[in-house]
Amino acid sequence: MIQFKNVSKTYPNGTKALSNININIDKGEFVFIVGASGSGKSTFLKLIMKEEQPTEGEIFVNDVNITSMKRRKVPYLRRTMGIVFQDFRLIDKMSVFDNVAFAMRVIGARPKAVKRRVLYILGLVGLKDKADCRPAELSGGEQQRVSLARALVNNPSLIIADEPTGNIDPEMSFEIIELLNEINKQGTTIIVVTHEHELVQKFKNRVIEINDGKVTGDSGATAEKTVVPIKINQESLAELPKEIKEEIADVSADEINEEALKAINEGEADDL
Amino acid sequence: MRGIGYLFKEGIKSVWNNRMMSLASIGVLVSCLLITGAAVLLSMNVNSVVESVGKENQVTVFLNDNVKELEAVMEIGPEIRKVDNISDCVFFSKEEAIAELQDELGNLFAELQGENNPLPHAFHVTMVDLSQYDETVKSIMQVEGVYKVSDRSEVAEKLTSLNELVTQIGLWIVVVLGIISLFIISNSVRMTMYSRRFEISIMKSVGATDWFVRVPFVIEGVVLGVISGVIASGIIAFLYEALIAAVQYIIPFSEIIYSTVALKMTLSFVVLGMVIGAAGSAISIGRYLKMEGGEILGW
Repeated sequence: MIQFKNVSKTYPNGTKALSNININIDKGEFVFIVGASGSGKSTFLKLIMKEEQPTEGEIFVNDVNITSMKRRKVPYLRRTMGIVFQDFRLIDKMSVFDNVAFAMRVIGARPKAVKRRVLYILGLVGLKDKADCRPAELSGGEQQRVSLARALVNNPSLIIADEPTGNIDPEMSFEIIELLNEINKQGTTIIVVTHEHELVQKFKNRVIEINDGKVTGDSGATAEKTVVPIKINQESLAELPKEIKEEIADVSADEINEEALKAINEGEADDL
Repeated sequence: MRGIGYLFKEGIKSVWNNRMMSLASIGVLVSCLLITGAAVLLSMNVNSVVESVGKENQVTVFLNDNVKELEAVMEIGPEIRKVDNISDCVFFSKEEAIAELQDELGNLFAELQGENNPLPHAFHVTMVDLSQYDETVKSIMQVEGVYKVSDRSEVAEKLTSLNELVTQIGLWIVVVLGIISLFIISNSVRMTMYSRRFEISIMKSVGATDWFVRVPFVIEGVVLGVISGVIASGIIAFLYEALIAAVQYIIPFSEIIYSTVALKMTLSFVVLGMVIGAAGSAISIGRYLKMEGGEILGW
């Protein structure tokens, strides 16, 4: 899924963020990236999203070498990944529904597909009742779930969470990671960057430690996974009308994902 | 072209959401269009005056100083009438001429009456075909006792060069104001973009193409341009009619009737507004499109 081959990154101002990193993350893994602040974790994520370009080495995402990827193809790369931010990055003037829908609309999804898919995803993260609320009316944990819903809505094969628990209390943090674990069970690759060792220790997922721009520890491919009880709001899903439930797992989002992959692979992505 | 409806809505929404800045842009753009329109209308009017003067087929034939009234009427008049291409030839005595001058300029010429009158006798000659103007003037000049033929084409020439000047100044005004408007609009859109940089960063992180990021802002610019164009057309129609109504008693001339140019004017304003709006937006977006993630937010 993700391969870093001898990757180094030095910023123009001389800061050496990463030096000679080799990391392999397989499809379907759940990986914690830990390290002190300034260790190079954020650079690691930026390189995956192609917000930054490595100074040396090569990076592969979905077997595509993104190091040499053309600029105009980058949007399609990003459609295959969902990003969760520490500060949620929700748009205050939009409702919860619109915040999640935003991610679909700006890549040109059909209005009908948007409605169905967003309601489904909000049900998944247990926020269907809050669809009309503004982000400011929600708790930190709820806001982060909205952010997660937005990351999930385009059905990405990879979720990247940058300190997703940094701004919420420990109990809620646990819930968020559980939710990510749940999503991981459906086959989505998850990368969580955090500095909360306690939280990491509660889950028996693979942990990669980065310090001073180098990999200083890797627990290796996932050992046994803790089986966490499903906490997705089944009730809210049950409330949905039958027709919608049937349509929910339809092509709407997969279509987007497939199109994105096609665009990346074929190299003839038109600019829409 | 999926999602074009959404993009349109977003563009129009942002005009409203940033209404103070939109208002400022519209104000500036309307002013620019008004000045441009005024320059164009002035030029058109000067042009029409030039044409009507150029077409004036009457010349004044001045006689030599020593020619007496009797000689003029009895001998020179008939001679002039013999020239080809002349339809009318009316005697215009120096007493009439001085009286006309006095009417126009007051008693300044009071002492120039009678013996002191410096003006010569003259004929007002009307031509049939203006294209033979030069030959006709030449033939008249050959008549004995004729001193000079007033050359209307001189006036026409002066007016023509005035017209060229007006046109040129008008053109420069259009160019300068166009650049100013461009700058203002691009600033307005930059403000919008700044206020929406957060959304832009999210758009980019979820994989919106450059096109999708760009279009709402271009639409915003175009909407501002169209609104300005419509407002400016309305104002200029009103002002022009009012100005003509006020001025036509003072300076009688065949002015351009606004309704004959209204459609052209409105269309040009709207199109010009659109182009400036779109170009202004396009200028400011480029910078944002090259940025990534935190850069957009200024972190």
